[in-house]
Amino acid sequence: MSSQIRYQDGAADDATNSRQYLTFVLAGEEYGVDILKVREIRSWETPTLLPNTAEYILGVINLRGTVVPIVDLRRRFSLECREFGKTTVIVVVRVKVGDKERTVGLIVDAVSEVYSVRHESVRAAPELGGAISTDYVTGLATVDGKMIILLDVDRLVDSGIMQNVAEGG
Amino acid sequence: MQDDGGGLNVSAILEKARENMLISADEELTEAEIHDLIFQAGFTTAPGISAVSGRGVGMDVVRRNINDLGGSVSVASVPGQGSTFTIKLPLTLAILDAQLARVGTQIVVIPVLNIIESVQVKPGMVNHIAGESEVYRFRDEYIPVIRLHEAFGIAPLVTNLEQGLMIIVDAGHQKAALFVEDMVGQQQVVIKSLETNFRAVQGLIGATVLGDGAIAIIVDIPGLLQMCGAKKQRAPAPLAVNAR
Repeated sequence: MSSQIRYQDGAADDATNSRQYLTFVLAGEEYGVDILKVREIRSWETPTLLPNTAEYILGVINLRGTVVPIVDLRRRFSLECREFGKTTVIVVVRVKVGDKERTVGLIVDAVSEVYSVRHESVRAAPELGGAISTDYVTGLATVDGKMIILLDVDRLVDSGIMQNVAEGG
Repeated sequence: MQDDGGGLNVSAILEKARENMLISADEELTEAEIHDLIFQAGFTTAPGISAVSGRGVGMDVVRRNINDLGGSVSVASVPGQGSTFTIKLPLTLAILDAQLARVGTQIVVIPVLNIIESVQVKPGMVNHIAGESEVYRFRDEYIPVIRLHEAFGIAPLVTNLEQGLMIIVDAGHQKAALFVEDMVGQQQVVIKSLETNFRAVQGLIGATVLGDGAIAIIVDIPGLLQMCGAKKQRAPAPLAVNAR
């Protein structure tokens, strides 16, 4: 096996049966997203407001000439809103919605770590209802005794964020 | 694009690449091939991880994006003198003649094509219908006043009509007076679609990037008039009186 191919496929390493996740903090909980979906991490900047969009769409930012929508994950998950602080960052992810690729920024309290999570340590998320649907929670993993909520960003962005929220304004 | 620093550290890149098994230990590479390694996914020579760097997400994304646009990127480096990144991009742009106006702290772009004129409001020029809807007397017709900050939900700095400006716009079959706080200037802007990464938004053609890097939204005048008409049910219908 060529070492180069192995590296490009790094997030799903069959040899160790694990996957790499970037984790971030949101209201004290740690969430993980597949690191191959993450394109960059940007410091907080005030987005340009967009009218007629859902309240958790804070607006758009200029990402090197591309217009990228910004989602406040706290509002998306119906968490208590907080002032944006020093550690507040925008995690820019590239997601697949339908057959199109889109770039979306997610506002989180802070980025945390990159973990290799072994497949066997991932547990299915219980059906809880509420704002965080199990549709986009792929599972719960335990790393160093901490629980990490693993998110499927493709589905998270697809459910609600891209849909036409403002019916007739 | 050029820097003035130390250039790419060839030995550090080579060492890191061997460590990560991107290349085998005994493989010999030319200098150009070594420079090319920085475009590999997950490659970093940063010793630690900070909030924004060190994860190896960077140059590979740069190359992928440029390739997606049909362009190319390459790097040449001389130790002690610096690195030169050469980016080639195709030219495909949609350009619009635009009037920039300020609403609150945001800049809003209005297509010049739709503008008839802009006026400063004097007392008595704006009347109210049923105490709520505002109409502006433009030559010999009454046209609705649309306060852009209300239509777009932007926090205004000024709400008194006399302290701002009215831009009279024509959407073909209908006119309206848009209330803005200030005129900023006229320029040509490049239209960026919101659908690329998001979806179409009612009342907007798209967005553009201004000279200072800020994003401004471009107003779709017919769409805005339709939106405000539907919201307030402001049917002017002056002929209905005669018909009765």
